[in-house]
Amino acid sequence: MFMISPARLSRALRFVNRLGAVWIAVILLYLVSGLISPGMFQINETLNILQIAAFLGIVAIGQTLALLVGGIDLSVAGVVTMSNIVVTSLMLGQSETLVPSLLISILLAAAVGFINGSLITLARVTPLVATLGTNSILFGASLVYTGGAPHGSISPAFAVCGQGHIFGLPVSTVCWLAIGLVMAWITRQTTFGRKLYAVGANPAAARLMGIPVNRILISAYVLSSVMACLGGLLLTSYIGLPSLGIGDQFLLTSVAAVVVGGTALSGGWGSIVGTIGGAIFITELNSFTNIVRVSTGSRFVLQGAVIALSVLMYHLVGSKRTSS
Amino acid sequence: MSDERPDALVESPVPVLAVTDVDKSFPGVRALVKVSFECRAGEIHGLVGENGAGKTTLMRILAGVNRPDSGKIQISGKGVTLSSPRQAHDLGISMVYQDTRLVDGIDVAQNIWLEREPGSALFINRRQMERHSAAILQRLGIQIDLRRRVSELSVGERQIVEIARALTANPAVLILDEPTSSLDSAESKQLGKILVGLRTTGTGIVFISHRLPEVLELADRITIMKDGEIVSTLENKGVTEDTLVSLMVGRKLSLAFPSKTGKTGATRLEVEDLSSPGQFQNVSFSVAAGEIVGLGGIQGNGQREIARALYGLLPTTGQVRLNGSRITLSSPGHAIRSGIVYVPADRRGEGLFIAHSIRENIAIPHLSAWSNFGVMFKRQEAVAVRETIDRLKIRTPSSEQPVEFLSGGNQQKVVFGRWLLAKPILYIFEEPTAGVDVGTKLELYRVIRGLGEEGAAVLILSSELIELIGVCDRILVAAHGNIVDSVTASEATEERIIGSAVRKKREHAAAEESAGKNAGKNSRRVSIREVLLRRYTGAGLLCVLVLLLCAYTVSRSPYFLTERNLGNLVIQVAPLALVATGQMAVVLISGIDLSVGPCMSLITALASYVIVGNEQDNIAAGIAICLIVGVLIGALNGFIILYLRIPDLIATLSTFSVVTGLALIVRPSPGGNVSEVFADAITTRIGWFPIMGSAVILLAIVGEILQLRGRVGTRLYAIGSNPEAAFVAGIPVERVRFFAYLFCGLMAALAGLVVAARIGSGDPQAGSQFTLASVTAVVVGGTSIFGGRGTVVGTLLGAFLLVLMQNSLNQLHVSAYYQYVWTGALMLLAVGAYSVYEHTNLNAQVSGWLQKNLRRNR
Repeated sequence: MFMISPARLSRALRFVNRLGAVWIAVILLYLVSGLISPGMFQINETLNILQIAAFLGIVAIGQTLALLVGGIDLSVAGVVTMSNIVVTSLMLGQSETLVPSLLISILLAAAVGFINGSLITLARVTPLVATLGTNSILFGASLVYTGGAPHGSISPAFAVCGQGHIFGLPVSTVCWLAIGLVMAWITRQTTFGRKLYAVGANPAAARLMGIPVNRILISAYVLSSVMACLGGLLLTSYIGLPSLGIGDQFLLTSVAAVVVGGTALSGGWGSIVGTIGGAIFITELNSFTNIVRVSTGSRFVLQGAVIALSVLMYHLVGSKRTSS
Repeated sequence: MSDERPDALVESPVPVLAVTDVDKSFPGVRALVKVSFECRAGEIHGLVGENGAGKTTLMRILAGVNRPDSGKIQISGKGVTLSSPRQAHDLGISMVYQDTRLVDGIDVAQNIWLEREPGSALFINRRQMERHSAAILQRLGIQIDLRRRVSELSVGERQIVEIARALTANPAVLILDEPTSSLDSAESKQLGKILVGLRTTGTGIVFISHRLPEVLELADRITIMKDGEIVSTLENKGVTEDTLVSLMVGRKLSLAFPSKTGKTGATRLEVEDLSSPGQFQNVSFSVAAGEIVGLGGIQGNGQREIARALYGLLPTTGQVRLNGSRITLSSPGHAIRSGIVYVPADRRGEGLFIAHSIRENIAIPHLSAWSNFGVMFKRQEAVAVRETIDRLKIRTPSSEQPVEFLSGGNQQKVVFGRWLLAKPILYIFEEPTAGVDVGTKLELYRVIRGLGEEGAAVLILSSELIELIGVCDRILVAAHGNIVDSVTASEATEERIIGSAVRKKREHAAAEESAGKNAGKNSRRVSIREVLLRRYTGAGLLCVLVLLLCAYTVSRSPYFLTERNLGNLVIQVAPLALVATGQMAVVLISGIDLSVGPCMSLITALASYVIVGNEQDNIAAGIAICLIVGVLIGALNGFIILYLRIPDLIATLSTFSVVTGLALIVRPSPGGNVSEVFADAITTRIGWFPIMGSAVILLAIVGEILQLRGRVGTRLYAIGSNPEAAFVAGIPVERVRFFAYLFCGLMAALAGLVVAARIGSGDPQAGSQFTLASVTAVVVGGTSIFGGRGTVVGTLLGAFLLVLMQNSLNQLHVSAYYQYVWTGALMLLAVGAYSVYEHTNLNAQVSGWLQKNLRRNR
């Protein structure tokens, strides 16, 4: 009889993890959906997935930073909605207003991140509660600002970011990968990145090493909000119109992408590259559920199961690392 | 005193506790070697020995915390196996820990009886509990008001409560681990009297202490331990302190310490009159270049605080000069830049980034030195790290190895190594060789000596005197937050150091006594009124807020006070109040349940299928199905959190998604009809008042009684406030937590049913706002997001305030969209305000003011 001992399973998973478990999952899912619907193997379909994945991908990069410092940022949903509403209502389809409206969106997002960070460090509110609160405020503010009926649109020049192609690749994908590379470089090769990991892994020890813990935490939340904003702007450029609640989907999916990508909930362990894989996986999963015509409900069930299962799997892989 | 000893009991043939040939090893250490020990009924048995002699390990085995590797334990002649603290306690061994294990959030009587309260299966008999507690305290000859919260007791009072707690089971053996270490002399005397009193009742008492005079005064017999072995057991007749000290110490120098050069240079560190309030006073000393200075004495006499103050971790007054120039001690970063580095004793907690690589751990203090404009020089880093690994001979396959996979010795080398490259002026090492094998110890000693030879100043804190004597050029002895002696290497012996530490302690005690420091100390009384005020002040403020809001709305809108509107208001409050009560149970144990909103949606969707028609039986079955589904969702949360060990946040976030999906599967869009009979029953009004309102009020009253007098209430508060203490008291922490999630699921289901009755159909989005609103109601109602504090009544008021605001704004024709803004803002404000209140001394100020004014009123 064929038996798998937990030890052997754990060793096998550890081996898989070294190859980058998330990328193996991405490839397997791609193959499975391709076998069920051969259309998936066509280059256009693949590029389409990468184009859609860019929006979630950028938001999830920000979420990675929040998880790396041992927190969570649930306000990304509100920030995406806010960026969408603000940029369309300021741009009003004109090119002259393009730059200022983008800048204003990004600054607003940075301010939100700063407020999150200050609530968490100075007022000692737990990250979950703090960002859940700001998320609600942002959503309400968007409703009040638009009176429930948003108007405005993006300028045609801006539409290139979300809809255009460059060298046959979607511009949004290129933007995402560029941001991803920059953030991966920042987290791995700069002193800021190293401090980020240190604060996430052990804030008490980080303090004894002379690292300004509060400042690093606040920066992480500011960056998280700015990333959510960039994701929201790109998404806005793709659909061209304001839409209330457009960010709501990201609340769960951004956390899912990060967790699937192997970042630990306890902080100090994970990578941007893993999150990029996680975002592709979640997007693939969505398009796979479209192919097999699964209802919206089942998609939510699947998504919840994927979050729990991937946390569980990474627990098995590095039993100490992911436990909180 | 000797005439008080009942000789018959001392000569009792069967010892009440007998330990035979017990061995215990920890990785790398033989903590106990063939230990045999006995305690007779009605004797006080003193147990003395140096730090690390094995006393605490022995006691932990007797308390059922650790299991022995081999050996026998007998209680009153019967062989036993001790597998848990609870079991040891039931068998008659009670333990009083050095660091008290009391739960701060509950009062004295509750602490004394935690997990063993008198009363019925559901309720605690408070009166009986107070009577029993008072009896025990009276037996101890101490008055502590039973309604005081443990958090406001002095250390001495806490110790007494702990002893009272140990006595609730009428133990055969009472073990006290250094009970007097944090007591002043009057309190110690009192404790002595208590122990003598207990002895006459036939209890066997094991008394562990560093204060030899006390041991000599109280004990009938004294056992001395050294290096995990019993040296000797003496009848306390004609024994002197000197005899004890010479038996405790006198360990052979088994380690070859590196030779001392004795060459020192210019003064590096000068400390003058350094004080930190409540920690240490007027400390002055200096360390020269190349000099290695030890800071020793009995543990907990300010050594650690002095070291941490020098590293900028404690507020201080006084002067510190480094290389002749004055420095300020403001933060660790500042200390490092000035040239002071510190290796803490808690390697895992404060020293290492355990999951990170050796390279990252070594590089962390050098980030700015090895970078330009924030970009790391990889090459420079790699070379420097390699150099450190080679220099300290850290045994590892690569510099990328996570430090968690290294041995204790190699981990400590990493912690050492990270500082060597910075060439600091002063090194401070706290317990530099704790948990390190012998071979590595020697290497580390050589490294430390090497630092001295390179011209650095070194300060070492160690509880192992032999280590200080072997390594240091000079040893400072600390006692009671002062430096009381300075011993040079040549004349340093364990006797001398222990001697001056102990002598000082005795002088200190004598001085305190003559100053009559504790003469007028009285025990504070707490009135019922104060207890109620403390519990309900927040709720009272909320009431005022609610009334103000009502008054304002009434003045602006004539419609507000109509029966119709008031009735609607109550119907709207009901579901939020229900789900918030469930959420509160989870928040009380410092968890959170994000899945309540989707759970409510699912229940409405489900209700639109199973609660249909007019037949009562069918409706009842439908209701039962809905409630069971709620409980199942709660069980799922509990299972994921407690058995799969996924943190509550991410666990309930994933069930949030799963349950949202289930609701959409059951009913993809709003529709269906919930039974009218059911809907009418739920929304029935007597006059204008919906009966649902009375149900909720009834629930709040029952909940409040359960919190105040029920067993479940005390357990929730204890777990939320201090899970470790709750576990030691024998509370099944995991099971209680599981049931809290179960209860939360049930309440969400009830809330879902009320919503279904109100809207009359199924809606997969009906509950979407309730996740946030329930958390907001809970925290606005005064429940701490960190657990351990909160009331059902407060939660109900929080829910009421939330719904009332919505209703008022509607009356005032303000856009309904604002509700999202103020729900979030109110939550942040409540949590932020409470946490700032807790973390500043505002808390102490307010309660001080409260006490003063209450007393005046009386």
